[in-house]
Amino acid sequence: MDFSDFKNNRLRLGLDILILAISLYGVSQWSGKYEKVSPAKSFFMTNFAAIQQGVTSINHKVSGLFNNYLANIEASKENKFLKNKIADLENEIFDFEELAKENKRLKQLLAFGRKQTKRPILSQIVGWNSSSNFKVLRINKGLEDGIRLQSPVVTSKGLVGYIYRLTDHFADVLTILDPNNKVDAIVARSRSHGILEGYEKGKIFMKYVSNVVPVILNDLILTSGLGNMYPKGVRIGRISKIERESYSVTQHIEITPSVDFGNLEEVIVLILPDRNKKEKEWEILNRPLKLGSKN
Amino acid sequence: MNISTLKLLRSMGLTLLLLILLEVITATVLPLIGIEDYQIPFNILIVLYLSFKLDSPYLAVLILMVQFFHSLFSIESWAIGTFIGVLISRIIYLFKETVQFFAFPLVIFVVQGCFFLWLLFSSLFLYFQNGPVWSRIWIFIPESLMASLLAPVLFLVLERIWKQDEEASLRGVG
Repeated sequence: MDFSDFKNNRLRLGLDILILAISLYGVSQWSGKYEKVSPAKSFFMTNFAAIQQGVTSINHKVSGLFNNYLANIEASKENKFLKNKIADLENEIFDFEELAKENKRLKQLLAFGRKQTKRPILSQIVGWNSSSNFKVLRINKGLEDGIRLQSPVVTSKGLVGYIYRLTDHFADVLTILDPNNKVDAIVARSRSHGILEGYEKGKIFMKYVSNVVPVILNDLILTSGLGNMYPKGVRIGRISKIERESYSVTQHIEITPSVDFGNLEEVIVLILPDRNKKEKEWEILNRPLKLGSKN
Repeated sequence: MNISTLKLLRSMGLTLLLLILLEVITATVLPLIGIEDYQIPFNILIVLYLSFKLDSPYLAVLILMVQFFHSLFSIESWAIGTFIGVLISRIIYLFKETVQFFAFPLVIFVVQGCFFLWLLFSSLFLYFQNGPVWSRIWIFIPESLMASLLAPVLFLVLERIWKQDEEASLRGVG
């Protein structure tokens, strides 16, 4: 080994240790709940997402051309179906708003008075990331369209996920198929609680449901509204498999989501306009009390 | 900045462009043809190629760059990928003199072995963050198999990008 090799090895070892330390710091900062995007990352993401959007739209156009002019069979039916879907989505939003109003009235009666009017933002999917670790989709609306971190994302069929990462014009949605996305849910019929967690091949687990709770196949699962992220009563899916072990205290419940993630093209992001106000309220409540001050 | 450094930067730029192209294709084209449950981890393949082929002391920085650009398309933290990438590059550094890629089956076999190592380290990380990771393993296996089968082709492309001749060897850049 000559002197330059020795120097290179030392440099490499030093850089390896430095990068390992930086990445360990990065790991410690990673919450898995949401990610605040740096300006540099935002710049790259916005530009690459625009490319993704372009490629997706070219793909859609090519397949549209094929459907309309070459196959020329299903196009008009699809159009009708999409229009119906939009009408369904509007109905669903109306239902959500009605629920929010009812909620508001009840809370006013109880003097809790918290406003929860949701503003729907229709978005198109421009890309998917479905590696073994994460199930994420990218939509074409961002901060400038009013979307906020951790806003719930739905379709007329049910819950999709929440906004995990945000740039000015695009956002990443962590879907309910992702094991990192835990959703507090209830069985619509028995009102029993459980935690949902993404599993594999488009299925979701419902955890922590006691063995004595009577659940049956095809039971509807809804969001519970706990956790202050998802609105209460949004459809998630139906029970497709139940396993009860004699030695276990909980049941093994598998849910098939209502949303067909394979054919998802548009989603609705629900915005709570008063989220900042809420955060400020929490901040004030969490401030330590100044004891012993004279004024 | 000498010629070797320039060559390193140019090749890395081209590699990142290739990564971006592959990420865009996997995020847009594959779901449209019905493959939405799996994604080929091209970033890992590139990290493995760099680890096997490059003698540069800046390898860790290059791995960081690959993982950063990958994180623009995935919510996977760049940090975990970088940490595992640098660890595996260190392991490869110890053994790479004994591995010569003279046939495609050997490339596939070695890459698959490295993927299992990657799975082991990433599962450990994710286990500490989120608990049991069994479900991930059953998705990672077909993904890594697909990637291993594609490895010889991708390595050939990368070989053209990182083409090293005698006078511009990347050893001793700096």
